[in-house]
Amino acid sequence: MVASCTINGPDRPPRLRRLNPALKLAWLVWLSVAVFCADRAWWSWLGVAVVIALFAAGGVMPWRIPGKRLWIPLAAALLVTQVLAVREGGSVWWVVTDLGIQAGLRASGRLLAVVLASLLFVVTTEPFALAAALMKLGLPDRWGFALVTALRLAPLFRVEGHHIYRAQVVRGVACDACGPRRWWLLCRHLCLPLLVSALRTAEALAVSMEGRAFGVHPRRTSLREMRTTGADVACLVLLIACVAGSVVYALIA
Amino acid sequence: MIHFDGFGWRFARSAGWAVRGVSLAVDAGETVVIAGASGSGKTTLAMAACGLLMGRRAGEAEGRVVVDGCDVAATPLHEVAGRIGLVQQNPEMHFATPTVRDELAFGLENRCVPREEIRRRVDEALALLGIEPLRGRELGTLSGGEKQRVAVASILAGGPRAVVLDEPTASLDPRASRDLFHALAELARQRGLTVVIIEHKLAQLAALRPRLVWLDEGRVQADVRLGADATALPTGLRQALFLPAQAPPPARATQETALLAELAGVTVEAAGQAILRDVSLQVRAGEVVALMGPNGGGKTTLLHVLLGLAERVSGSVRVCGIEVTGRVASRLAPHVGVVFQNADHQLVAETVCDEAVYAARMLGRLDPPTTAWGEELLAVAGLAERRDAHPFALSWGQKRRLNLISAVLHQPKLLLLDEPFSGQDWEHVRFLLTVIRRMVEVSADERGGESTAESRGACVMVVHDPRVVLRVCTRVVFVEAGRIVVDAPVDAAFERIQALGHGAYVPDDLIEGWNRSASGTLPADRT
Repeated sequence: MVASCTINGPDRPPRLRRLNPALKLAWLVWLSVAVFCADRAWWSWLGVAVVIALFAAGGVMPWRIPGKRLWIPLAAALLVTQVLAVREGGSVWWVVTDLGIQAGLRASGRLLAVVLASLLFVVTTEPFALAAALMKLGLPDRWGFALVTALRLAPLFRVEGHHIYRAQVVRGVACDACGPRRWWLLCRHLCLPLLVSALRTAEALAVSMEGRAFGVHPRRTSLREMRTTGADVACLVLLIACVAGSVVYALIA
Repeated sequence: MIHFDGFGWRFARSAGWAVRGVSLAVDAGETVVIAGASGSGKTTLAMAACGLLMGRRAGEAEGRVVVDGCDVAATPLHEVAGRIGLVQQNPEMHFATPTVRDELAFGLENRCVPREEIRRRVDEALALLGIEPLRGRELGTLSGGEKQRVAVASILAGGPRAVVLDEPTASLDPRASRDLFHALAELARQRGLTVVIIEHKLAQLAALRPRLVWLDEGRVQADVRLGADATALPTGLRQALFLPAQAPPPARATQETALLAELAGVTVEAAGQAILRDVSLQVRAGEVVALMGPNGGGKTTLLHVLLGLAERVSGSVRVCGIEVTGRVASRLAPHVGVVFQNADHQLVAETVCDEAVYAARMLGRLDPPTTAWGEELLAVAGLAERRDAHPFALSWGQKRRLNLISAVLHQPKLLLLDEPFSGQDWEHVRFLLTVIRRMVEVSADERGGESTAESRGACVMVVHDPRVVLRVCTRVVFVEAGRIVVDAPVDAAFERIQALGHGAYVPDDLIEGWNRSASGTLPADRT
């Protein structure tokens, strides 16, 4: 899903890709906390607008943002549910109240802001670069590589699961039939082979990493140079300003 | 460089010794191939040499292993790894990072080598394996052969004096295998690197004339120079190197025999690219069709099309009279027997015995004669003693045999096998061939009686070893870049494949020469 979207591709300056991944993660965390703490709906929608603008700046128009079949219906469902469920406030039409509309916009805006910001983070951040940045900030190497290997192996296990599914189907296990029995068959016949495969992969990877002196020294050197650029500094200053502004706003409000 | 001195190892909770009394010396700069039947102790020797057994696995050891002057049992693993590196069978399981450059730098970063030195050594390792263009590539985008070269380069970047490769070509096509072997030979010659290769594909290694150590039941049975006179080799080794001359089975398929599979104008697309292009193929009863060709050419996709598993298929596909469209794969199960590439994927039951009869039971075909036939096959496959064991507890070779038994017991008309011989020693190849021929030549209904044109089955299998093709197949279909470029009887097909510049897929002259010189001397091999 995410792989289908490229932002700041080779034909465009990779501005967002070049930003320090840890800084991008900090922005994501701040945005997620801020939209959930803000009591006004328009804050959430401002966040949505900013994220969509960043996508567009990277050459990805709103209608090309990945996963829209999932997040648009979900946001719409949240909006409708809140509008119909909240009865307080002045009546606008039928059972719809002004507070219900505000609650619906707030909930759907929060969802969209967090989902879209996360998508933006994923499509502009290389997992290994993120782990390297976090390790440079003090995350233990073991945890950093746990993150890297998990992200690297996840698609492999997805493919593995697909292979196992196919192998079971052609033996007559009706995993491709309809109905609830399908899920029971899938659980029963997919889980064990997948678990065995995962354990075998983990063991082989441990041998490979240990054989290349992983964990021998408390710290490691790195081929990748992580230089702090002017854009990083500017983003950091802006983030600090935003955090400070949020705190002040929260205290005043 | 590597010395095994009366070495033996018994794994915990194992009755027998995996290897015992092994005394072996490998000189610096030497290329040594360790071969033998499945379970003969090859991988155990490799693990011992790389320091992955003594003190790190539960078990009992005797004797000692010395690598580059240090006793591996008394040396920390990372120090042993600085002297000798291990490349495992599946490179996917070897990689710890997402890109080629990061992977090559990984070991050096762990040893706290300065950045400039890492850069220099990464460049050097890339150049040694001839993979400089891959430098910035993501590992997931590489072919199987490229991945294996990167795995070797990632070990060499650490600067070891020896490298051990455990069946490095198990998932590679003949050309990629040959290229890797030649690259390793060059490294040994130019850099003085000691190379130890554990491998079943001895025919492809023969041209390099390496030293060959033959293991049997955990002991060294032969230590010879591969390429010497074939008649001087031990029988087991000769059987592993070549198949004695034997006429291929008669081509029984005619226009009168039943049409079991038919593809007409089939095209398969994925991610905007055509994996198969306008493929047409007919398989008739009595045929054993070899699907050959480079990795990624479309062979496995062709099998998936026959099974109704491929997506975005255009054209017509009929299997055993059923139009294969959409999600009908489980509906085809009564008519086809399938063995996938990975032995683990098809295992379902709790015991070996239940696994063998699983499909027959699921499809309502488990009658006393079928049960008796299953018992017979388990016995011939050497699995009878393990009938109550969990299938996942079997060795790889045992699982492959169990896969095939399970695929044939429900008496399918069409066998579809995806590299069933990978990682198999000759004894096991012979068992698999016997079962395949029996399925194709004698139908279940006619077992013990005369087969008829209508009752015979057919087999389509992805296979890389031309010696196997010579022995059992009636026809070769060569698939390259999504197209069938050769579809002909075996002898004619090999001539055309050779003419197309794919010499790695035709029987090796050296082996064939041995084959001719030694024919008639291996009575035990005439099945």
